[in-house]
Amino acid sequence: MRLAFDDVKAGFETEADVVVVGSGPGGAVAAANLARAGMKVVVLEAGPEVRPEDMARDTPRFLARYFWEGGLRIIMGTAPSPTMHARCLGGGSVVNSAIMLPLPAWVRREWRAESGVAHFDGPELDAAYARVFARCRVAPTPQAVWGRRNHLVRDAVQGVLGESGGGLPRAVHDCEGSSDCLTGCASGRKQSMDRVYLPEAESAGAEVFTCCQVDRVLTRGKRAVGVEGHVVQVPGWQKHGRFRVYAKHVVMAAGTMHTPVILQQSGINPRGLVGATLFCHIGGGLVGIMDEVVDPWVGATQGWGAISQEIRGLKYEGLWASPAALMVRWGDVGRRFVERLDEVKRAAVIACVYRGDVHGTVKASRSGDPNMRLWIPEHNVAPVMRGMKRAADALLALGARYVHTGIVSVVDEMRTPADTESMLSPRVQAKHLAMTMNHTFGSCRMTADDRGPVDPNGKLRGLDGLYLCDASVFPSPSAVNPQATIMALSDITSRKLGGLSLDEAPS
Amino acid sequence: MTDPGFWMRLAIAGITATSEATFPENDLGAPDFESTAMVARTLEYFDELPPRQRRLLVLLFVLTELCAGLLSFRLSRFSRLPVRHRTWALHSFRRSDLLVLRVLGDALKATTTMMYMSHPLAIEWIGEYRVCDRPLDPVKIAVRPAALSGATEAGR
Ligand SMILES: Cc1cc2nc3c(=O)[nH]c(=O)nc-3n(C[C@H](O)[C@H](O)[C@H](O)COP(=O)(O)OP(=O)(O)OC[C@H]3O[C@@H](n4cnc5c(N)ncnc54)[C@H](O)[C@@H]3O)c2cc1C
Ligand code: SF4
Repeated sequence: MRLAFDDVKAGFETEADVVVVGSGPGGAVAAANLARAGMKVVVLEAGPEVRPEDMARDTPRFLARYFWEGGLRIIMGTAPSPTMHARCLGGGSVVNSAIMLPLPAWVRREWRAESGVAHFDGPELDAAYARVFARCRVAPTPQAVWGRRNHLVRDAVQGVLGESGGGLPRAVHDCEGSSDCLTGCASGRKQSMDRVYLPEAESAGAEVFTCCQVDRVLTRGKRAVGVEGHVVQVPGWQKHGRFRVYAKHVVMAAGTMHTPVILQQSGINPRGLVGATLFCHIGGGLVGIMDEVVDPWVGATQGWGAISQEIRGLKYEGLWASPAALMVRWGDVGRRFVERLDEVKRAAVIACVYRGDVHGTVKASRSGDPNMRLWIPEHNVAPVMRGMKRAADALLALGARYVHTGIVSVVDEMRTPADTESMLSPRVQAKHLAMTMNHTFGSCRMTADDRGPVDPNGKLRGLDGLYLCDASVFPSPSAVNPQATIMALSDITSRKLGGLSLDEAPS
Repeated sequence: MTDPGFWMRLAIAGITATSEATFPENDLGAPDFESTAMVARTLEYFDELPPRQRRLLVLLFVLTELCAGLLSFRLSRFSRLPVRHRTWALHSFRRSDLLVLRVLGDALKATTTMMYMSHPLAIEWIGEYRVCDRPLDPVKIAVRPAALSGATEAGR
């Protein structure tokens, strides 16, 4: 059963075996497993459901309505950067590009060695990936929907640089190549959580409440016994009735930023470790203005990618989004920008995503929004810029008129390899990196010993009945897009909690 | 029309001054800040935002109106400066070594670009289209279903 604003606006009180806070990839998988295990499950999601008719290509309005802080959230620190977190039923899966990649083997080994958690590099994770991939119909993006833009990225990265890649595996069935992923897949091809796991949870009896924002976890002694919060209307943002859900188990899946904030606001912070860490992928984007007309709006949003063999931890991806979102840092201002507008149709964009070893923190601010800070060590700049220079040279080799990065300390419009050398100059510092940090994790790390607040069963240390099933449990950056791993880890934690088999075959 | 009040009047002056500086009237045939109704649409966008973000953006444009002149070495409200000077100021803020100026310049560029690029005239001007329709979408973008197969042929 799915309840919308009108059903809950007056507030309510209810009971369940499990209350799941957040309906993104982590929460949806947990809800489906726990409902299937026969538990009475209540899912609380702060945002509304985004119906196909709400998926308008009016980007500013869409961001304002369906993203936390209206899509204007910034991570402060070395290089203040935007970071986007969806606030809707299905969380990030509704607005993301649905790329599903398992952790590389070397990251799995490192996670296990560093955290001591055996299943990070064990058969349980393999089995969980297999189940998640089957359920989300993950398949490589077919060449038929790459469009010219993804072909160019392939020609640059694979053809010129010799980095082998392919159509990115995505949780999409029968993609139309509309480049619209950021404002939701109106035709329903993307296998987002509102379409895959949540309906399954509902058919197994779960109740899914939208527009219900959890403020704090209720505790009795050393046990979590439920949550409370308020109903919010979108658009309008008025607060309405209050709710309380009492439950034997609380599953936190509000995402990297909100899970620690809710815990902190509830006074739950074992040894000060909640929100004491934060990791993000860093990197940058290159816009190549080609001689040919590319029509970059044709083809899958992110259809082609390669994990670099040359630079460990670096990934190249083709990228597009609506110009209203993509061009906010692109080019100059005034006439010089307007003159360049007829070049947008010639653009090919390559994103360079780097694992790095950044570190940060998340703290609840007085307003209840997360306050995030991130420090980028200077030694992370060289691999990012080397990767970007290689991609820029490759685009120039393919005939790009010029390449642009948005980084203030490099040549603005790079036309020759001599110009791209500026990317390797010591003048380029971490504070200059221009990026959007959409891969965020690790604010409540899972570790075998008590260095992290979460134990290998996904339980918060020092409090019974509280489990974490989202990106916050990553012990360090994943090096690849995180959604598949978030879902697989949530699958493991929720199966353990619900008593389901960890080696069930994919259905 | 009701008086928007002192702060909002300052914010509107800041929005108008910044929109004109980023998307000025031009002889290229490209839509400008007026034909894309940037000021009215920015205010509508503010109404969609959560209250705190709305206040922050209003503050951003109030500060721009009051301080951007001084920050670009002129003793004047931003909206009273010539367009060319305003454009130059935004250009230099974005390239400044001072973080606070860079953040200010980037925030102004980002907000105005988002508003401009989401207007149907701007979408049409850059030649943007889609391969499939969203029949329920009030924003109408040209649709060319055959474009995908053409692009794939060219890419092989
Ligand atoms: C534009 C974009 C593109 C991306 N592309 C990819 C990609 O292609 N592949 C990939 O692997 N990753 C991608 N990511 C990242 C990926 O989407 C996230 O890592 C993932 O969604 C995180 O899952 P989660 O369950 O941890 O949290 P979320 O998806 O953030 O879900 C948390 C949910 O909890 C809700 N919530 C928060 N606070 C409360 C509260 N107080 N009360 C109730 N509910 C609350 C939120 O509204 C949200 O719905 C992308 C992200 C973005 C923004
Ligand atoms: S590219 Fe278009 S059709 Fe394909 S998944 Fe994204 S929004 Fe859906």
